[in-house]
Amino acid sequence: MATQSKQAPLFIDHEMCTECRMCYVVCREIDLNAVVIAPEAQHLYEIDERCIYPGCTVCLMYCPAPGSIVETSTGRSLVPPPADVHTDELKWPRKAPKS
Amino acid sequence: MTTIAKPGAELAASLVEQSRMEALHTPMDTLLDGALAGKVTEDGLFRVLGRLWTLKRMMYYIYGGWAMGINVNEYPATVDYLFSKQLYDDSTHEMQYVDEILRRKMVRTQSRAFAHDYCKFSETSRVAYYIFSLRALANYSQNIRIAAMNLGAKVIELGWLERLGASYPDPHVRAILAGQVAETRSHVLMGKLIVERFVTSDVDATLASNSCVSTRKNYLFALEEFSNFALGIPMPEDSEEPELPEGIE
Amino acid sequence: MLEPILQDFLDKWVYPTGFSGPGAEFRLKETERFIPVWNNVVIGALHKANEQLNSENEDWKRNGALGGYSGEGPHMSIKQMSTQLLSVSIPQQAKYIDLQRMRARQVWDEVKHGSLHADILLRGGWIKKETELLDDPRAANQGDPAYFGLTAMVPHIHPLSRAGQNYLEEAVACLRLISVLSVMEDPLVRHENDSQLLEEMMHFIEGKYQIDAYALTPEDQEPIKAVFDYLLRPWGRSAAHAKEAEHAKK
Ligand code: SF4
Ligand code: SF4
Ligand SMILES: [Fe+2]
Ligand SMILES: [Fe+2]
Repeated sequence: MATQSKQAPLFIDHEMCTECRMCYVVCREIDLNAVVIAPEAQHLYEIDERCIYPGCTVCLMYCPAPGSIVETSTGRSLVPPPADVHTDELKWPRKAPKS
Repeated sequence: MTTIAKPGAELAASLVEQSRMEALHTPMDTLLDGALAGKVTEDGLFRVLGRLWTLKRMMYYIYGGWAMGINVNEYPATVDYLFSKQLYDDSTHEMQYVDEILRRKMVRTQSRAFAHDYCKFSETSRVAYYIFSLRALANYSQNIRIAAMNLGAKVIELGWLERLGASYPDPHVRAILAGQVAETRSHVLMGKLIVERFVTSDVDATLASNSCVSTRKNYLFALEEFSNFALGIPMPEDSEEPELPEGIE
Repeated sequence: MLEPILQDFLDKWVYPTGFSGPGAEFRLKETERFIPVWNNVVIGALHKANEQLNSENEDWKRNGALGGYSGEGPHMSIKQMSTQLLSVSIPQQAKYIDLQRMRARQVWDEVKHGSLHADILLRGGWIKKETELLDDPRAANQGDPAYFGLTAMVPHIHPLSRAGQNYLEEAVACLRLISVLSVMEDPLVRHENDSQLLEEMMHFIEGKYQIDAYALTPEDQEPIKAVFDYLLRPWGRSAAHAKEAEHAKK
């Protein structure tokens, strides 16, 4: 039951990925929940169709392993992030909580 | 108190055997029967996923507390390697349970899951009873803790994971549980290795054996709450503590 | 002029930011203070690696591995790194569980790094089995107890304090590894450094992420800044790293 489908706009290249879970943590933090743990025993991290890339690029700034997150449509590596994915408009706004 | 004069190898084998007997039918199997009979609703499933998640995410505190009690050069590095992997695996399992809660849209966000009654950590729950009992194992040395956890509760967990992972009717839940079998089995095997090699004195053997019996009981006690909660069976508030065999307090 | 290794590191891993807002602003402002330190780390590491390349014997390999084992060996790491699992109270877990998740990963990584150093000692023929290290004080000696103690104390200060150590110091670890790898061809040393690099990168990025995503108020930034200040004191860890470059220049 692989959750990783080429339907999602991004996929993880497990030849490059260290399964460090940063993308999971980031995507969970912004409540998009598009990174999941595959149920199979290796428990690889995978991106499912909840991913809204290119509307969101947040996890790409926190993935440490070059080449591990890939743009599905072109096969282009997005780690480290190329300039077009970290523009100011794409940044996820964080405000200080009201006290 | 009786002294069990056994070398580690014999002790490990006997603890696994005892735990296997207790693992033959657990409250999670009652849940499985209920699910196969179509008696576990989506809400019931949320209840059990919520409880499993709560228990697993409390393990950070348990393992953190145990790790504070392993000193440099107290054991060969094997003990650290195996323990750190177990910590990581249980963290993965914690994440999988909340993943499934979110994927099924039982709640919309992780922070709402935390606030939900089914997932909240409550001091008056049996999850708490079990977790508190594990925290107390920090008082012992690592060989005893691992005997209790890995040859007690983990053997029982492995038993129900194997069965629910094979026949739980919902395919997603079944896949998640089946996927945890290999790691849980490795925890049992590493438990055997540690008990075989590092339980070397009679006093440690007795303490390991006693702790294993009580940990197992306490785990089953918590599981009973999970299954009843999911099946909508009320828990009697005045239920007794789990019974321990003679000679163990 | 910055060292090219540092410039590349900054462009690829430091400056890209997933979040906007006070956390990322705070991080980038603080980073200005670290750039000279990080630059010196690269200079010092390159110098040391070149010295080692020209050395008459292979003692440095053994000593490096023994030092690595004592610093991030399995015994050290299991206890050191696990302190962070306890930095989040149960009521705070909804907000900070990711700290525990990232730390669970780091515990496992650092314990593995210990086994890499042991591997060097085994492959280099300096030991026959890892348990021999139990009898070697060099494999357990904590040269910098205040630094290790800081790791253990920060959970009692603020759940985010450790992010300061992860950001500043794990970047140092990455820059050293990258510098060494840029000059070393010895397969044993490459193995020791290369197989750690991406995990050290994760530890650094873990700090970066925590600051960007969580350090949004002065109350949450202050304890991180305090750790930075500490590490930059003349007797702090980062200042000590930077001194290596001074030696290199002489
Ligand atoms: S790009 Fe955004 S939505 Fe897609 S996986 Fe990364 S963080 Fe999640
Ligand atoms: S952040 Fe990158 S390396 Fe880490 S699990 Fe995700 S894709 Fe893999
Ligand atoms: Fe390391
Ligand atoms: Fe590290």
